[in-house]
Amino acid sequence: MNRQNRNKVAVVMIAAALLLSACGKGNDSAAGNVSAASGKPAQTSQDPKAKFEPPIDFTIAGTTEPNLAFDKGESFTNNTVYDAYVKDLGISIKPEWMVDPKQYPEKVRLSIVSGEIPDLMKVTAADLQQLVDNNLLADLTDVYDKYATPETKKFMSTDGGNQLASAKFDGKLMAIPSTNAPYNAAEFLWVRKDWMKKLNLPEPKTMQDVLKISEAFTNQDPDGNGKKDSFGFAAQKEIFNMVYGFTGIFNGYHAYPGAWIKDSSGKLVYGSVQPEIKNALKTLQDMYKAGQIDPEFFVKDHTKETELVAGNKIGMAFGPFFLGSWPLSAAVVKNNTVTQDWETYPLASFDDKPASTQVGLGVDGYYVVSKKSKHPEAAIKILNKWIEVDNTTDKQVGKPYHFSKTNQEYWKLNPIIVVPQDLNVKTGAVLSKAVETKDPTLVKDDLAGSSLYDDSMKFLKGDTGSWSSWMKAKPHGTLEIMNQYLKENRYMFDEFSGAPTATMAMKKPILDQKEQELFTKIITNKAPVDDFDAFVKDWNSLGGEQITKEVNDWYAKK
Amino acid sequence: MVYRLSWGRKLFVTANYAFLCLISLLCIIPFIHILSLSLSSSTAAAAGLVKLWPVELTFASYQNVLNKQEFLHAFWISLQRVVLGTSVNILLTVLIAYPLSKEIRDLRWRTKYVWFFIFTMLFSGGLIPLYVTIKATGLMDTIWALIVPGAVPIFNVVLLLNFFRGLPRELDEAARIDGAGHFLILWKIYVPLSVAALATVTLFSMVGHWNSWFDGLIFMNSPEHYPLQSFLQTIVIQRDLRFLKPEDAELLKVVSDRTNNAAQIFVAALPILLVYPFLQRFFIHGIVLGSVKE
Repeated sequence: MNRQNRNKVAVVMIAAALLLSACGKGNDSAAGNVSAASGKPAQTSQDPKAKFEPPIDFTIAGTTEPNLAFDKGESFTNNTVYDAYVKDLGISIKPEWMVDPKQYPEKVRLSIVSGEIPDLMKVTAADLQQLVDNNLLADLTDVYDKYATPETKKFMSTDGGNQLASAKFDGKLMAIPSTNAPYNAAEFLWVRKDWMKKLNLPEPKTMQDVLKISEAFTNQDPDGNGKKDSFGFAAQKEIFNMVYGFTGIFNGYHAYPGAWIKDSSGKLVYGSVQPEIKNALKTLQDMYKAGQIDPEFFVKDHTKETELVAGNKIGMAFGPFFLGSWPLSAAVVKNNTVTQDWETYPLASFDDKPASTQVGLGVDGYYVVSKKSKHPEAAIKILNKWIEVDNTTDKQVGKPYHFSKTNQEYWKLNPIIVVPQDLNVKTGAVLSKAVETKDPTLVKDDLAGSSLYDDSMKFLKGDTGSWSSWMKAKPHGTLEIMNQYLKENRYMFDEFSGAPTATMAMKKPILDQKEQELFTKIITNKAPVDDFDAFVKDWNSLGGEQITKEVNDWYAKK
Repeated sequence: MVYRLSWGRKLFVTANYAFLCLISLLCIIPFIHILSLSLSSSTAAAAGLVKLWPVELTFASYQNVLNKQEFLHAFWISLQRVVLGTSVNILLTVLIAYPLSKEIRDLRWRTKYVWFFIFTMLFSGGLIPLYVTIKATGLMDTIWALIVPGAVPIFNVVLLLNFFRGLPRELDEAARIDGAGHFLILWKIYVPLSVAALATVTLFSMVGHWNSWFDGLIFMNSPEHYPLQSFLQTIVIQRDLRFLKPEDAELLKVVSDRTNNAAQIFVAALPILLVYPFLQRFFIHGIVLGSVKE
């Protein structure tokens, strides 16, 4: 490259820098315009159930479900669910855009910076914070007060108001939390009972029992094919994933990776850097060394690992209550026969203190209403409607919002989906008894319970497609244990439920990656367990200390 | 022709061929795996029994795919995109490459123009400015959002530019003496002489348009407008469990069908597979030709 050309490169570089900075400014002013152009919402009838006359347009951002099969002539933008909203509420739902769940967060961010957000969309806690800071959202305090029905208000604060509180900023309600039961994140120990019987093993009541079973499943040829090809535990590359992760082992040593927990002095500390972690890592490393874990687990995902389950090579797994639906059912139910006998147990502890299962707040996102929206109350009316139709035992009322004429899963299309905060855990108190005594009256007022009851009866009559429901409903099934955890006070809540703090947003992803890398290395015996001590030191100096301080400031203000 | 091969040479050739065969095996095995997966029963696929040969041979998944409206629709959009996008690409590439292949005395600011184009190859505004631009120009949710941003493939321009420069200048001069203008020279002399290079850049463009998926996801507002690869991307990716609601698990139970996915992937790869053999004979020829000048 000659001198002249080199000068040109320099010019080009400077031009590029200018261009980039210009772009940055453009975004700021776009955001500014939005906040300036806010209007007062038009007032309509105060009756929360009143229809809009004439029907209004309400724009949303939607997620798609590529496997949803539509009835003829219907689509994501034109379907019977949206028709039902026009008919019942006078709200015509217009998706401004739709994208698949994986790309959704990216597209939300693009929407925010381009300054045009739809009337209603679902965002993460971090996005919510940003939207509130930039004054782009409608304050829902008043409309929620006026338009939410008593049933809605009761529904949204079944948990004592924790989830709703997480959507409040300086006492103002800025979003509708996408509620869910936090207990649904509970982990269970799934064990091949047929193998346990065959090898004459005791039930896994303590961690020592679990380790013994794992050892026997690996070495005593439980599938009887004469080869040493089975593993004690299912595992996958994300070691803290709900499905096939190792959180159950950590919890058994009273270690709570990834969660903010109270220490003895009442301050919040980060679970992943507490000394208890080391014991769990040591155990996992020993298991890996003894060949009780798939040696290739760190490159496998659920689907890959499930192949091993289907091939009768896995004896135990940690997973949530829905593990029987996915991914286990594909491996267990083959040609209408249940080929493996799985049993579920509560997490086992290594000492005399029972193991707690770690759970979060249970909110997986926030529904926000744009400040520019002319009818913020429409969001509340949609919320009322969803709560009404999703919790009624009258199938005729619920159907248009849930299923197509050919019984496709249309409920996905609803613009707001909230799940009862005590879903399943409440059902767990009575369902197994109802199934055992074949007495449906015990669950007659419980929508989820009665449908699981029906499925279980079908299963007992030979419908193997209902195996996954049976695993939830049967005596000692997952829902019963979920309730047992609650009665025995064995839920360890993540105490931090705010938006990521400043340092957290900046540094936590790197720290998390480092954590996952080191823990995987230790488990696979590529690093000694003592490396954990160095990690703790690094974690603190690389921003962890600052994050802990910010989290505690947040906690003190709460 | 007969070569007399030394012993060492023979050894080298053997080792070389073995190595190349190994590489091509590596490329073709995943493909065969997907094919046999798509032809197997779904229980066999879920159990991981399928390797390189179909287990419990069935064409059920192909029947499903061919009856799946969304798939066929996305396929149709992709075809439109490839035809439209490639024509625009080629037209603009030829129109830009011709003047830039001239000497500085014919086109005074030639170097500056070239740098103007190269610049966009090295730097880009990033995703957000691009999104805002598409939004502001009203291309959002139209097929043009997939075509206009990449209308001028600079790499192809450089390739063709070098190819044009390799053509004998005497042809150009002779045509001018006979009174031909630039357009006539371009279409009657340069283009017919550059079929090899044009085939190459056409192939690049087609494959590029057929395979790109990210722009479809970002610029299309509803799945009805997705091109095929965007559509496929949404069905084969791993679900993020953090956002999984209990009901989603029930849905996953119904839909997690690997044989269907494999069939869709295979059908989606077919068109390019069919085009390759016809264009490939120009291919190697085309890339190399522009690189040597006398």
